[in-house]
Amino acid sequence: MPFPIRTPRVNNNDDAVRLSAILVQRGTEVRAGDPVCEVETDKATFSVETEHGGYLLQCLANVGDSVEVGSILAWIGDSASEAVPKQTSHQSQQTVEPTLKAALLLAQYGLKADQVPTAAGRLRAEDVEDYIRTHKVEPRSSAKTATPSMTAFPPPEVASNIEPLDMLERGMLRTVEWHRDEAVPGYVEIAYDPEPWELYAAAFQKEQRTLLSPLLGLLAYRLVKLCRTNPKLNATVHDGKKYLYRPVNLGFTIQSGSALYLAVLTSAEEMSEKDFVNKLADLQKQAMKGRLQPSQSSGATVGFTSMARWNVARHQPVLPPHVSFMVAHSATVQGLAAFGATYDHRLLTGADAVIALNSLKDPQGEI
Amino acid sequence: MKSEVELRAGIRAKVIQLCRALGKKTTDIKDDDILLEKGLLDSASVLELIVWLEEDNGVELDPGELSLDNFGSISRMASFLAVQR
Repeated sequence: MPFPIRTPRVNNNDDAVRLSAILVQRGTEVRAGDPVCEVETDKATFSVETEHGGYLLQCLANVGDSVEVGSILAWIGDSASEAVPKQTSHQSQQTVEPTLKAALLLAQYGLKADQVPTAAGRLRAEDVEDYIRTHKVEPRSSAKTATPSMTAFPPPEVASNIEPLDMLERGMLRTVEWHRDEAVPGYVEIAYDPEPWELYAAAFQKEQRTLLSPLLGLLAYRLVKLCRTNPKLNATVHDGKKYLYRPVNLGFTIQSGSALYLAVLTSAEEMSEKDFVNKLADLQKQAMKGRLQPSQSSGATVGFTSMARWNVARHQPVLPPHVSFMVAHSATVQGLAAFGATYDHRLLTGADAVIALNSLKDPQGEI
Repeated sequence: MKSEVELRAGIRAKVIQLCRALGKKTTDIKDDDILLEKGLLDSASVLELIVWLEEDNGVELDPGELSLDNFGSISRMASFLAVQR
């Protein structure tokens, strides 16, 4: 039976990647773990490996094509002559599940998702806008959108050079639109004494003989432990239901050059403090090399971010999609330090967020 | 293959670039300064420096090698890398 190789997510911000190389010829035998092709974004190149041994039956995209994350990129068969499953060409195997923005537009114009053609893995707002323009569809008079749609605003009147968004910009648009359209974000902040944490991190660094300061890793690890005692921190709301995540997948922001990644340590609750700190450092290194695996750049269930290195005294993070609690660490300025948190008010109250932040203040306090 | 002097010059240029990104003064940086202790670089910048060193020199550093003795200063990094290759 043929096995599909799906297009990996190279980082959290990109919903599509570019096929940059096909490394194996059609019909060639491959072993599990062999790289089959390479995909890239503007910031990173990533080898796509097969999880199954067999023979490359077909790569469904051509070098240079933009391919949606999650779509079938290639097929591996038990023999070189095995038939590729039908309806799996790069263009035809796509689903028509709409993005949130597309769904809002569909509702506004009284359209159904299967009416609107798309060349991508998901039906996007621009697909719906193209259809509306081409078919001169009028909005339903009673249609109401939850939020102002992009079509509700005229374009700017200032003379401009108009360019498409690049992949990172599109990814950021998706994140901030989820924050705006789906979450109901609130923000709280508490002051704390940074000295106990500095001493704790220094002792850990001395004991483990690490070159790098473990402070942020230790703080993030305490957040992971908090999620075990307060599952609502590690949860989301979708379609009127509460999703309490089983693993704690810690999303950690990493700035590499101009690229901002949300790297993810999956099942962090199963790690010891030392393992967590070491794995987080390795994750940072992989992100800086542009080598994050798909599982390392998606699926965050709770988030931690720090802007202390830029001496930022306060910042309000945007919630990544399906994350309800994101802790903001900032610089200590004149002996004063603060923890902030953006939280999804559909699930958490300001008091929930403050209680959680208070539990972060003491590195060794009971949780 | 780069000499230790060339390595040191390259590392120094990279350190200055990273310091500037953090808004630090770069005029007084000495090759023997302990970068973390002097607050010239933070941990993320040191990690960025290590990634750059690996890619620029075609080496993969073992986590156990990432110590202050080997990577604490510009001089130590250049010496360590010169011996490694």
